[in-house]
Amino acid sequence: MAESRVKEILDEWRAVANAAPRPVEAPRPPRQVGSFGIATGAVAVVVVLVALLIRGGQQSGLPGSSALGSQSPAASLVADVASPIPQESASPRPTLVASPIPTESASPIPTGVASSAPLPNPGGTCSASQFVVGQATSQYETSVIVASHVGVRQPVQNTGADCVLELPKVIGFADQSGPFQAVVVPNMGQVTCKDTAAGRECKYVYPTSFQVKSGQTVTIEFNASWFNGNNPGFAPPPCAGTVSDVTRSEFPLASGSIEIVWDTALLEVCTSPSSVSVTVDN
Amino acid sequence: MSEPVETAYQRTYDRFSGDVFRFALAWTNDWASAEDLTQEAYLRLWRHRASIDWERPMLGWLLVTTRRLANNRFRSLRRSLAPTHSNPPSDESIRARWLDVRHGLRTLTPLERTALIVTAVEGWSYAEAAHALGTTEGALRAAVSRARDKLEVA
Repeated sequence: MAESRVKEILDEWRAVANAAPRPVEAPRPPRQVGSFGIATGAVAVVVVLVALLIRGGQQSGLPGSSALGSQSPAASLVADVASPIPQESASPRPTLVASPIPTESASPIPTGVASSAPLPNPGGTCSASQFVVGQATSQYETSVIVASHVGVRQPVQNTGADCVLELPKVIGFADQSGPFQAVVVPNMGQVTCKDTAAGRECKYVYPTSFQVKSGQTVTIEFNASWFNGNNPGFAPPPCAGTVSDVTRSEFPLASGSIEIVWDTALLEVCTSPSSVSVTVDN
Repeated sequence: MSEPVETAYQRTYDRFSGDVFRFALAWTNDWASAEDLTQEAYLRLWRHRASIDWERPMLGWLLVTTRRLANNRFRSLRRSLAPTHSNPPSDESIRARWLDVRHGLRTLTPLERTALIVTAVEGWSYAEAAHALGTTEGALRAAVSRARDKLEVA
């Protein structure tokens, strides 16, 4: 009965999806960009403005024949595709460890000692010494054609009093034994969803401050991506200040830092532009 | 010189646009978004046509680009993964069927939904699906299993 329900839905999906008529001609910006639903309004405005400019005598060629086609090709595409954008499904949450395993990494690392540059104090009230660090998990998550993506998740348990964890804007990254390099890390954001009468509605939120109650386990998460060179048709995007084979991170708190160690090496972490984003799942 | 590129581009569209659309539809569970994403993915291909090796298989690239575009779009526009203002197909019978299907799949995450559809409906191997979705075969099988479980109890 239940299995037949699955089959019924999938059969229906097949029938409907295959009934979708496809435009015969492949889309090309100069001729068809105005019909795309996502930006119909905005593009229409642009088209009108371009047309007005042309009428004003700034150009004498065909309308819309230059703007989109003249962008630099490979680099911008790689950047778009490779940007580590989190999303709900491709970032499976690890099961938090019931009893975080105390390791030597639980002890705070004095900020500025292990780093090549001191990490800014993110503020808040949490101290590294009040957290017990569990087993970090790491795995490849998305995209294998142009860029590789790895997500790292580090559960930590607050064994002290309630505190406020401020998301750091700069954290340290290092290979297995080298010094930490400071890297600016954008806020990854989180998906929040709710069920409504019309369906499930989701949106991204970008909290920067997290209340961590006594005894609570929260998970520090970051996603990293790097150009993998799998497709020779695309050039690597800009990447300065590279840290290679990264398997360790220094995550600063109001007092001290947590060291995060994981298995799946980030082959390349760029400091400019940053190729890692971070959040906390509480 | 531009003629072969034009031809290759159109051929890629003829061959894969249906696959890209269905992939986007599975991922977003939204008809209008899937249409948009398919066009956007091909526009990316067109925009970068000069730097592309047209002899290489394009479907994998298109699928990954589509998924990344979906994520970028979702993030930048704060759109719902299952928006209420979807524009289903104009044909009334298909429209009604689509709304039923969409409702039935609403509880699945994009990964679960896409993993189930591309393996059970599209006939991809687990290896192919894992490659396109950028995950491992084990994770993909788990997603398919979770998807079936959710649908069975729905």
